[in-house]
Amino acid sequence: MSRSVIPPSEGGGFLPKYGAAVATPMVKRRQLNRNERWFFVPFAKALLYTFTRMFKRKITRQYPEQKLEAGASFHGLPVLVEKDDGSPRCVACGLCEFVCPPRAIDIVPGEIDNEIERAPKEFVIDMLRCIECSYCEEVCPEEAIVMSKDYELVGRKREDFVWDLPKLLRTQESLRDRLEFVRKTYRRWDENAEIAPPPSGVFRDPAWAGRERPNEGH
Amino acid sequence: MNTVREEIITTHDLNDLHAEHLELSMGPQHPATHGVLQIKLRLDGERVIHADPIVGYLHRGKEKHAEHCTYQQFFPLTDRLDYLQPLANEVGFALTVETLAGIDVPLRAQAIRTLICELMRLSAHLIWVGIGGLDIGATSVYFYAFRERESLFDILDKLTGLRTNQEYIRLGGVGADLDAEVIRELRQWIADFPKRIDEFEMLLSGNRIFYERMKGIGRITAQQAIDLGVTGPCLRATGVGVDLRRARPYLLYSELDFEIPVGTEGDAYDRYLVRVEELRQSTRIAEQLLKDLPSGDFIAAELKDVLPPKGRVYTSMEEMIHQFKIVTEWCPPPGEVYQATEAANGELGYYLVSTGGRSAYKLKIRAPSFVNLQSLKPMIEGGYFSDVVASIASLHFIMGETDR
Repeated sequence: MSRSVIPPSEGGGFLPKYGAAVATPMVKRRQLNRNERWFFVPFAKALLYTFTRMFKRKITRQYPEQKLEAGASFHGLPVLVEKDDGSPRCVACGLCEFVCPPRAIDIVPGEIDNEIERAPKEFVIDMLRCIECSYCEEVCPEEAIVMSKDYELVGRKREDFVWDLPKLLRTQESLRDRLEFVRKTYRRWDENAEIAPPPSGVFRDPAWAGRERPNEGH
Repeated sequence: MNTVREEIITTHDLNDLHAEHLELSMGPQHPATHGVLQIKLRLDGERVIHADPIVGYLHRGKEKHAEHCTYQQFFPLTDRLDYLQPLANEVGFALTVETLAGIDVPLRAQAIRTLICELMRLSAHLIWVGIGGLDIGATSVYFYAFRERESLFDILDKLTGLRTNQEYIRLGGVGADLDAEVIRELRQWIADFPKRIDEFEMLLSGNRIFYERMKGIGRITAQQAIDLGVTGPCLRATGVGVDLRRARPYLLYSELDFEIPVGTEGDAYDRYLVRVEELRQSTRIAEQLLKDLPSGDFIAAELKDVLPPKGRVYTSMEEMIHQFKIVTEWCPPPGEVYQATEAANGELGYYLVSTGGRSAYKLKIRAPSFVNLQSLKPMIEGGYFSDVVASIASLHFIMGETDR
């Protein structure tokens, strides 16, 4: 068999001319031999092959009894991370709502009375629309929405699949795997980046720590 | 007095009776049409004298969607084009946008993409071996092909987080790095795979029923294939050795050692042989890539195009602004670009026109299945009705891609 050689395509040329293009190996095309024409031998061989499979390791998963073990990289249903006091980490910036390809997320922002000032009044994910792409997790600047390991979704009516805040909130402890994975993955090309979770205060920039807020008094 | 029967014979002579053709509508719910293809057939007894494939039952307006969503948001839609090789579609689209925006992809990300393209080719051809065999009547090979595909998907699940429609490719790289465990499992899988190909061949190639149902069926000449714009294994089966991985190398293909199998007669059996040989060649490519995967970043370090690292987003205002800007306002420069990749079925091209907005002005997807489907008519016309299924099976068009 000879290696195919294609002249490098020059600037304007699109494809090398068909037909004259390449010298390439032909696939072997054969006639059936006598055994095969007689049909019995290949038939018996195939039957034997199928028969021996009975004694091989079974790869079928007996699903409802034998659950899938999801690793840290698994994309289950997206859920919200709560802070230690039980309130959501989310600051209702709306970035996940924007990026969501099937537009499954719906946020109504509200004001709260502490230094963060913003929190979602309503946070709704329509799990029937969600395609578990993890874009929301990737863009979230607060590590507030992550993919859980839940992959079973059961309900009796459509409203059961529209999850609101109480249904979405999960403790950090239950999402530990995924949070660690997210910190490892999205650290990306920056060697010096801190991998610590986001501080829960609003002013991360040390220059602003303890000072008045810029927009106060307006 | 004449009986009714005699009357018929006297009023229609025998030739007229013979000329009454049967109009038969095959599909769109026919299991052998691989989705929702309808073929209007005109039959003369067992002979097909006219065939008219009707597409459009799965039209979802993807090209129009592209004009309304951001570039990153379009990736999940490309997954659902050829749903047997979702990541290869994503790679094609990513290359298109990156060409336009001038993003340099790091070497490791390119290697991962090349590897993934080949794994997707394997998975798509495995489906072909399984479903194609099933259409002809070879039931057991279907289960063995799906077993292999399932174990490949288990590994991809670990890498991307999802079994199918993975949404793994990002502009400028890929979504997550290939870790040591995944590499080890992939090496194991690739090392086992040639044995599996032998098993498929043992079950199919020498089987007389399979052989005689495929041999000489759905034959098209090289000239016909070129005239119709057929690409991929169906073109190579006719003897034209054009493969975009060689003809217009993208990713790392110019540095890899592989061969392009070419058929001789252009019938269904040749298309089967070419695909089986491509399984072997893809395995070779994957082996070479897994042997020494280049080190480095899995995503480009371009602050204006790629989301900044999370550690900086949490701590610095600059990166926080970039994060918001890139997600909501990222746009490539105005211009036009056509980028074609060799998908499992042929040339998958994206023609993108940008006016500098955050979504495409126009996106045209050159889907290989749609073009290859046009060769169905010359293949089945004049043949027997029972061979229609063999031609459909050997063409292996994906309706998700055909109708877009």
